[in-house]
Amino acid sequence: MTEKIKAHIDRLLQDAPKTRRIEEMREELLSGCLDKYEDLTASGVSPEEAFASVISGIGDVDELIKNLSSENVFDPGKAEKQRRDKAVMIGGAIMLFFLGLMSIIVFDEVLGLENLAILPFFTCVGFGVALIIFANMTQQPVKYEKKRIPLWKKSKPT
Amino acid sequence: MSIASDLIRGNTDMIILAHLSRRDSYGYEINKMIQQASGQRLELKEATLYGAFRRLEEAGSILFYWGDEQTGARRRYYRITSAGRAALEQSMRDWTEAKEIIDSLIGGKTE
Repeated sequence: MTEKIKAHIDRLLQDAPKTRRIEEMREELLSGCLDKYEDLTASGVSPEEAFASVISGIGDVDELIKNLSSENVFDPGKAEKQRRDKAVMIGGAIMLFFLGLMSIIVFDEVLGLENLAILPFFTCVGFGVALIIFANMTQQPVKYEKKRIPLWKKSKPT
Repeated sequence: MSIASDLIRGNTDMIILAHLSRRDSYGYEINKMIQQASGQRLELKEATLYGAFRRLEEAGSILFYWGDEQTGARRRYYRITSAGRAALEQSMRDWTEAKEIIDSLIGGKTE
């Protein structure tokens, strides 16, 4: 019967995202349900009745999933800030590219250091590329929005 | 649960804190205490209880630690913090005040 309870909770959470908080919720729900089941059967309630009582005592899990998910998955303020941060980084990278080109002119024409002109150029381009890669790795507002969609599909099997 | 559930739902956090102020406990035990103390008239849903724990944790009113159960799923035990005790006292004052106001408005006893 404990397997049945576990299966029921798994079904309730099947559409939830696989986050740490949801896993903790699964564990705590399960432990609460098993405590109740054992307590009821120990006091003489039949396994079937105890199971029914445990299931009906769970309540509205969908609401909880929605609350837990919205914190982790979508926060308009955070997404907006990330979008802006990314724009600043890309802007900085483009500036570095121009700086690189300008440094060639400065070194070559103004300072007359033909042989060294390539050095600041590659340094600037290198930092620019690194900045773009960093921006794409850490700032991903798109992903945040994608995850929102499938969460609150309702499934209420009993 | 036939009694005014909305009124009670608004006070779930206070009820849980009140139980935790006596001793550390875990979900089912708290619910069982609530059941007994209410003369079997109130039993919280697992989801309600869980939501309240998360709220209280975020507010810094409670902390959790894992129990050392040998069998079955491990339990999350909760402990009230000093901020939690302050919050409990405040909500008990609020409750008493609200009760007195409502009682006096509907003609019940206030003293």
